[in-house]
Amino acid sequence: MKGYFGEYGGRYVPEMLQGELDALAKAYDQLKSTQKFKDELHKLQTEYNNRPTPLIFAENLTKRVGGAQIYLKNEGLNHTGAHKINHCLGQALVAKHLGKKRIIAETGAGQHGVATATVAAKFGFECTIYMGEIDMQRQRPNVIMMELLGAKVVPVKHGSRTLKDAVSATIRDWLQNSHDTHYIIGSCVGPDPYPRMNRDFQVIIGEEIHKQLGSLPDYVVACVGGGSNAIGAFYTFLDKLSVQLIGVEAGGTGKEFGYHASRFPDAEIGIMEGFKSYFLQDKDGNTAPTSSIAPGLDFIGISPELAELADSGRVQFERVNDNEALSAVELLARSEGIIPALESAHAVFYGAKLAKELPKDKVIVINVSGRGDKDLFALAKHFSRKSFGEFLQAEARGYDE
Amino acid sequence: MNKPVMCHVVAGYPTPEACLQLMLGMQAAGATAIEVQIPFSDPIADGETIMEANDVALDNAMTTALSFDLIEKARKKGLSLDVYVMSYIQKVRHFGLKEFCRQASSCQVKGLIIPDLPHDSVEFSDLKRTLGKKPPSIIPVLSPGMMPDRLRKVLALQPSALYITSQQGITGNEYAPATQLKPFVSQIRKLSQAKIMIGFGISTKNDVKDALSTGDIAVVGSAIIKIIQAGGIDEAAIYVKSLVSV
Repeated sequence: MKGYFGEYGGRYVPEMLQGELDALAKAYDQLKSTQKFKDELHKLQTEYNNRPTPLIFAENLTKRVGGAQIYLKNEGLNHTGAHKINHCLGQALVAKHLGKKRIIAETGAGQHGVATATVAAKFGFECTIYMGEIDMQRQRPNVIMMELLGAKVVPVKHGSRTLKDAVSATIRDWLQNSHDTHYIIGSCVGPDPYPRMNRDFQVIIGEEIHKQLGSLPDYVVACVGGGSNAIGAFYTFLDKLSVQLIGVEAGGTGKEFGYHASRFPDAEIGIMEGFKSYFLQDKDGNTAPTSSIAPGLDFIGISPELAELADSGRVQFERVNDNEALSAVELLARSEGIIPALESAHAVFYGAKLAKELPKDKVIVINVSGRGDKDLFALAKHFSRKSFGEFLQAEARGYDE
Repeated sequence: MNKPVMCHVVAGYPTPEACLQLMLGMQAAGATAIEVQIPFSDPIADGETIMEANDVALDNAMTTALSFDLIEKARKKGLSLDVYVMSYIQKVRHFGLKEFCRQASSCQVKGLIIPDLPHDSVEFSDLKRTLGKKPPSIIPVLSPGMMPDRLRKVLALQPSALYITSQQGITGNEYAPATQLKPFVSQIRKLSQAKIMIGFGISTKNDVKDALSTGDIAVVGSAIIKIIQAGGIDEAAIYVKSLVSV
């Protein structure tokens, strides 16, 4: 059925949005195959953004681990520091063709918000970003960046006051303003056509990997929150069955319910936020609490396409906990001079662990979906608690004067 | 004769016991029907007021099963009005379609209002098949400005009633019916015998009057919760009485 991946996906939204989604899907389907659209997007990706991003052989890490050859796809070198800009640029272009004046988006950590505010500024759209009140407190630096880029950041003060509530708030805004407003969803989630549209804008990651490597890798490893960088890295290889695809989820601080954000095997099939997929739920079908040091992985649901690929076994899912991810940040920083985002560090940890068990002729590609600058505060708390604490206090005194 | 008004409650809000009294109070005040919302963590079609009431109800440990218990208890205490159950498809699916339908039917629920359940989804067909010909039936939620071919397909299902949002958006905004509302309802009347419920934003006697100039039943939701927040359930009953009086 159109708009579904197996039984997952769909458009579970009120009737008043069905027309808008239908128009968006039709416009997108028509646009995506035109040369003009392809040229415009290519120009943005290569001139405004920094594509292709490099694929590097991680020589030091490979030696240190002592197993399979490890390659890193460095998506951290995208403009704004992560792969999110790929689908933001694509969607902004669609919004422009639809004649929209305003862009809205939800954000958890603020990364998707910053990428959205960036393209809104570039395209001249008015921009509103919804962010949970708690996330705003935790990620103040990103709020400052979004505001600097001209976006209005609205605190969401209900529910758990985090990402899922920001998603709901954005859908509510869209319900009221869809006539002039385009919603840029932050991952390959939400009602059709968003999961496939965002995927199409992210598959450039896997296409570049294939081209840059010049052959097929044996493994592709990517972290999975909603799943945009993972499906982007995997898609090209889906029908190349010799390539094993591994999604790494957030193990948080424990295996007990509420202490992680791993959908497999704890999640159940459900329908939330406009689509059908696996969601972490409580006993009565409400959203469950989740936890991860990586805000981009701290999400209840998963891309409907990845849900189907999980069922079929084409993509295998593993989990890496907070401390393991932190250790992988240091490992990659010391061995390759690359500080990965905490999200990407989940993939790095699992990739390195896997490499150790494999013979030297195997090739692993780890998708480093973003760089770690954004995690300064979380990293400082862990790696330089005392000195950074003193620094913050001294800074704060400067504000009193 | 009272004006036909359907009063919305969130099961378990402000407390399970007060909610029970509220339903009975609304019946005494002259309401025509009660819409009982089963609380959910992510009610996307609801505005802030109803959303907060959902959170309160969930904090009160309200579940789908307990929501049906509450209706059952109200029935035993003399609630004889038409009862409609409103929730989101996630709650219905999670409870199990069969069990949801069985419980709804056992407390004589007349219809199910599920705003995020499109008529062309597998879940809609499954739910319709499970419900069979006896009540409750599915009450589709429609909006002025919706796609004409989708409207035709919904009406072809011969629904007994339709819930029509007065405007684009979410519950709890100021009542400002879309200009297309009247022509939209006239068009429906030509093609369907369905009873027309008009909701979203209705809070004053004038709003009720205006909604009833178009539809058969006016639905009041967020406004009642705001009254409860300010003055408790007794105030809510007085408010409903004033709304329905001619």
